Amino acid sequence: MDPDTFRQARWDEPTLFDLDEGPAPEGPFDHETTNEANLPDEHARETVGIPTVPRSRLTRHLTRQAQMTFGVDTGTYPLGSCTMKYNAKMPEPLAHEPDLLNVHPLAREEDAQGILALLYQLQEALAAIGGLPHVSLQPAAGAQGEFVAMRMVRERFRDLGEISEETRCEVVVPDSAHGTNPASAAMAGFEVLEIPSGSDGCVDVKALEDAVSERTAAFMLTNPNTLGIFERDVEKIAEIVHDAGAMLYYDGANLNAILGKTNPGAMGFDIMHFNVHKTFATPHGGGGPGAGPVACTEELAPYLPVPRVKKGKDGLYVLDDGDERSIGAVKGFHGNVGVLVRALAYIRQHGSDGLTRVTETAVANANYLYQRIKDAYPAPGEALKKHEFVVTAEGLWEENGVGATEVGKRLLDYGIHAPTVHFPINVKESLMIEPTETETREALDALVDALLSIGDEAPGVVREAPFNTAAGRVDDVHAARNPLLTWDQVQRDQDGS
Amino acid sequence: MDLAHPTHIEAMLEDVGYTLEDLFRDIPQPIQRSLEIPKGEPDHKVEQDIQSTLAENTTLQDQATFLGGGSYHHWIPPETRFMAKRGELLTAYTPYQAEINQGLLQSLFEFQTLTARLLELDAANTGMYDGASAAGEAVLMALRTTRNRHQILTPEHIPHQRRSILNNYIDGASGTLETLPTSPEGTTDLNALEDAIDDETAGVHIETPNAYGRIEPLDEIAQITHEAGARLTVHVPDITALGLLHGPGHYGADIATSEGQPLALPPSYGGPALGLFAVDDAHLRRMPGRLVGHTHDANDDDAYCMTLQTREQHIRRSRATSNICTNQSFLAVLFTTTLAAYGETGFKNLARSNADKGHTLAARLAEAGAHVPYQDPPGYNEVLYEPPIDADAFRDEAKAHDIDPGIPAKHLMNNGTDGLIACATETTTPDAIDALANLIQEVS
Repeated sequence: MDPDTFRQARWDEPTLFDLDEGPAPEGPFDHETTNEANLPDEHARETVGIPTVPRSRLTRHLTRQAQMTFGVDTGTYPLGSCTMKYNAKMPEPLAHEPDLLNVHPLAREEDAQGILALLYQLQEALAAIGGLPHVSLQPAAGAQGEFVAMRMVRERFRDLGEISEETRCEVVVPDSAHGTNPASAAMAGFEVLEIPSGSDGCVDVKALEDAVSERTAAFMLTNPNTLGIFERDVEKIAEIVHDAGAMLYYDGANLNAILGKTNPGAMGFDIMHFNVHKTFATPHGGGGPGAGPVACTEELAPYLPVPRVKKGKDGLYVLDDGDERSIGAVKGFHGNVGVLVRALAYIRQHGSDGLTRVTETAVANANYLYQRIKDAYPAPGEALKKHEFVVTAEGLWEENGVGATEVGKRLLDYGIHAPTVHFPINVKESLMIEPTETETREALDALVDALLSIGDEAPGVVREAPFNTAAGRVDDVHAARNPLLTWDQVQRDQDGS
Repeated sequence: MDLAHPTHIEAMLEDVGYTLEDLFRDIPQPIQRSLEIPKGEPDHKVEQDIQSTLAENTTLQDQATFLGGGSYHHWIPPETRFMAKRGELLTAYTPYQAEINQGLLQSLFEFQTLTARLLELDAANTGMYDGASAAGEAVLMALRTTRNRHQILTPEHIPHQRRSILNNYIDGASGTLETLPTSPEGTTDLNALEDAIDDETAGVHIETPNAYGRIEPLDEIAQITHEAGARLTVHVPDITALGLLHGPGHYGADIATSEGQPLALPPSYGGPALGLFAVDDAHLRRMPGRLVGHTHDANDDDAYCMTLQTREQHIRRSRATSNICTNQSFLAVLFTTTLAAYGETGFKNLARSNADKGHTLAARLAEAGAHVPYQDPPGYNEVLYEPPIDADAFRDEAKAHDIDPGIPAKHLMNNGTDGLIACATETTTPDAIDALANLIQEVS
């Protein structure tokens, strides 16, 4: 495997503000401004600071920025826990249909029957996939879904009269949980208790038993867990949590590993979120928009965010505002609808048979990959993985100072995105690798070859990587010491120095 | 569907000593489940079916529509719509690996700069889920940056869904929302604010232009708020207003948020949208969300990377400033593209055109016989009016004329306001305004 087969475009591209030619004498809507509305002077601003750049130069600027960005459309993206699968293209134009884009969220229900029908279909599909009967599509992303769930749990225990400073005040999470879990629980007002995982990376059932009590409102878990290992004791875990009177929460981040094999409802979870960009292939957009629908049991259903789509007796779809038990809203209107439509298209395209194959292929790819690299990069816990796995670069690190960060940076030179590095923290020099189902065997072999060849390369070279990307190693320590977050701050900084 | 054939999978597994069945033997039998949804459908069938279902909608193009209330229809330049399909940007993840994502990082840095300039504050993040939830985070931040204060004051004319969002965001921090009455001018009652504010008040939260389209007296509100030692958080529901009006930072707001959807994409039934979030430098390290900073690379060239990540959930866990992870980055890129395509003059013209349209709409509705309680001084692009007949009946009548005449105030506000709230933007045609005015005359 040769790192020199890849070269990212490199433009010394100025910012829009460097390209700013100053306000143009004329612009769009010139002929439409009548100045009839005489606003009070104290509110009127002279300048806004929008750069003026010729359209041709602007388009080149954007094209160059795109060329200096790496997406799934560019190459393999084994970023663990993020499920960077190929974004199926069929759903994409549907999100740009004028018949969707031009529907206002406060349109009369009768004017929105088409989109309401699709959202209803998606609610039904997600309920079946999650094995939990009630769904809200409102949360904008997985983390907001977690927050919604924790808010719902809190309101449920409030109604039961169990919330106090001593009771149902705590949420328990494994130490390997994604950071959003404890952060979401804390935002909803809970104290967070982290419990250590067992040596196999799984929930230490004894530690869980000791941790839960009437103080516990919920236990947050993902299965397979962060190490990509299926928690075989999940039924026992559910029993322990429920015996303590608490709720069991499923983080949908790893749902891609279990479609058609089991589901959160069957495992005993009370409430969950879906990450539609992970499981249902909606594009991640360089950091969003995603969507984080929440599904739950009958008991928790009245607390779901509103409005929810229901089917009326006359066959028309309506927006239901629930009753006073609902937590209300966490974002405007009905959720990230354009993203949800893509997810529905993907689910319908694949169906029960296709989604099962998605999981089988994702798990097969991960296990193949792990078996091929395990001698160089061993993993803790049992050998059988689900859709992802966590290996350690500790051996390389001790041998020649090439750790997880360096391996990740050097992979970029091979035209492959880095795995997630240094997470989870309970594995030293961890590389979290998730190939997904859409990588071919050839792509997997290329990743294997790259990982193995990095281990054999001169450590000095690897430590200074990357070389083939638009920028060399970026000084993030400098960025954090002297935060310059706008072009104007950069100018002031440069003038001052 | 785009998956390797099962025989290829079996062959690949065989090379490493597995069968497909082996891979799932760790799932205990009692919890094994197959999927209870229909089988997959051919691409073309799914596409056709979803298209024809969407065609059942009555869109902004099918009728004269006067809907705003937090989601706005503005003209999106072709450059933006063109870039919305650019695969590298659309299919990237959050740019954890800076070296291979300089383009995206530069674009987000440009977005932060634009947000800070528009809102007239020092620093901005790469965006939040939407304006409404950004306001929720702002109010939570007001609570966290003031000691032993738990009360947030906000006028009763804030739309009830956005009020609910604020409540959800502050509940966990033991915050309470208290409402202030509306003045006869349709803005926050300043006397009531002075009476209500005290050393329990963590923040005052204001929207401007508000749900009635009125411009709030931020100067006075900021003075009262800061004298009481509280934070002023201001939300701008339609970012285009800031092509004409000063940003909240100009008046002394500590934290400002806005809805960027109007410049990123059409309403799309309310989502995705784009939250803008900016702060005074003093609060930089307490702010939520992703931040991109300027730095240099190993060759000493300009470079960008995500920064100040120790505020965030993946490092700080339960002590993070927010749980936010994925946000709306792609819309931030589109927003930036739109503004650059407009340029300074175009963007100011756009805002001017909206104010003019809003003013014309208010004048025409009043002239035709509607009661327009707040008309002077002019507001922005929204106006509250009471038609000559009951608002619901008028809405039904309008439906028959292919007009959506505005949002019922009782639906949006839930504060006893009657009538309809209509919005006119640069996309609203003179014919549409004529049609609505004529209808009012007809039913008078």
